[in-house]
Amino acid sequence: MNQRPNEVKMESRGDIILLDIRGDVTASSEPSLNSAYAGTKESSPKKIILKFEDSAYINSGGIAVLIQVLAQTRRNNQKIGITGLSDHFKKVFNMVGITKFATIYPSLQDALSAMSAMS
Amino acid sequence: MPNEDFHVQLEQLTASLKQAEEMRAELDRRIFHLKTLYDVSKDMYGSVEVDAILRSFLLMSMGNFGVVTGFILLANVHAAIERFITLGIQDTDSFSSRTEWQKILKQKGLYDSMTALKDLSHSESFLSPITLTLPFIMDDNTMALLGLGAKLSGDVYSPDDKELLYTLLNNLSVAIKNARSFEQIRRLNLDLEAKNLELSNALNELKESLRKIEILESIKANLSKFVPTAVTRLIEKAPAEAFSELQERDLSVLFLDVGGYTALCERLGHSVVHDIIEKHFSVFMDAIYANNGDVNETAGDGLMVLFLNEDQKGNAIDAVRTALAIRDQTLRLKDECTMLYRPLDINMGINSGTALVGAAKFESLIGSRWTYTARGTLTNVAARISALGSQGTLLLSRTTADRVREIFSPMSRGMQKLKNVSEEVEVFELK
Repeated sequence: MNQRPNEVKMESRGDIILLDIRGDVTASSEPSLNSAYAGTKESSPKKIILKFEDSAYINSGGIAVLIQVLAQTRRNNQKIGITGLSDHFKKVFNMVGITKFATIYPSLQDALSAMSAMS
Repeated sequence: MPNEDFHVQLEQLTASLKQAEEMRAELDRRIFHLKTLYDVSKDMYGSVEVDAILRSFLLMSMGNFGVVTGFILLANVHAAIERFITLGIQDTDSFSSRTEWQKILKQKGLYDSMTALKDLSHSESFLSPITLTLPFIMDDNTMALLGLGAKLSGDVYSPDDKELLYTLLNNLSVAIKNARSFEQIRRLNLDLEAKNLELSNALNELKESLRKIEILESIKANLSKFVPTAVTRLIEKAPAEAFSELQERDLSVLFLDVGGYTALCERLGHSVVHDIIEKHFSVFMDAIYANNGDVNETAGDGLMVLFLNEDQKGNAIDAVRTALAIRDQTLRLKDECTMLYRPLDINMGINSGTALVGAAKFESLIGSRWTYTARGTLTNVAARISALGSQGTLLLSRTTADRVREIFSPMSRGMQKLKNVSEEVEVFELK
């Protein structure tokens, strides 16, 4: 399977920064995800939503990259929501403990609603 | 009773469902691990850079178990750390970690360190974020050490987890070996390219030198047409040396002159006569060179040839043999030159003795010109003796006649008065 390169778009939704991640997430995604997270630092958001494509393939290398980003968000006391995951990857994220760092939402709308209500 | 049965069945069903969910979760976990194994192999074999392979391996291993901190190091048999890659470890920790590892490896040696590693307490300060260390022998020269922090899930590493990690390390070992082979091949290729370049440059220099040599050879060939053989030999013997001054030495000088040249020109025209002369002189050259002669001067219808054989009789005999060959060739050439109704009158005179021979320099305002020649009475007398001849006579001085008498029979023509020579000289003819 050919890996689809990443493209990360950053949007502001109120006090939430949305990182819209296109493409598969693997070890090769390290530069683009790190760069996208670095891009959020300017606005010092307290809440960040990571949105993945439904069809995205995320392997263990990609999960490690995400964990590194999430470890930084924890150090910065940021709240993280994750959405757009297929059922399979919801299970995987749960299995590897990512859910300790972030909350998985069934849809972007759910994520925005829930996180907007957070202080 | 039916209610009790129902409750029992419900409890059983609930337990079965929980068991099924646990089995499903275990299945998902194993599938994920298998996928990791597949991805690790695919990623590592797709790269030939050792650092990239190690980083990819570490990321995959950490992602597989949901770990924030981890490292992998490669050390050689001399217990020196070759590579040390960390993730999620602060720079200060990383530095301290590398230093500590280096200390342990140096103190205990590569292989004993492995035993020591198993006894290390994970609560030791430099290991604090790491809860699992797996040493692994990559090959005879290299050991790998994988360190992983605690799982985010809070689970401890199971024997299955360690088995999976060792399988991944096995794959890593093969991938590193391949990468090193590739690095070696790449290095060899670079060496080869450098050597090829050197060789190519050397070849180009050689070609350039060869081209220069060809030009010089060509110049030499062209110049040799105008340069006496003696000069060519002198230059070849010592190309960088200056020509020696004129030196007195023994030699024989042959003067050759075409009798009736002016009348012939008037009768046949300069162009025809030129062709005839050129044809004759060309043939004469063979005879001259065959007898070690050296054409020193050419002037229209005349030649001055030097014979420098160090043996006195030898140079006289060479000169006479040349003259006789020229006379024979002149008779033969008559048949080839149809415009001639009789052979050319090639009058020749030979004198032997000592003269000043060598390079002579003429200085002028625009530079100096060198010439190689023989000077002295000897050459003048040879020219005058030749001038006495007619109808193709071969005349010798007494010195020459005496030197060749054992082989030839010159006949005296008595004492002769030579132009611009004060005393009469005896002249001999060889028929």
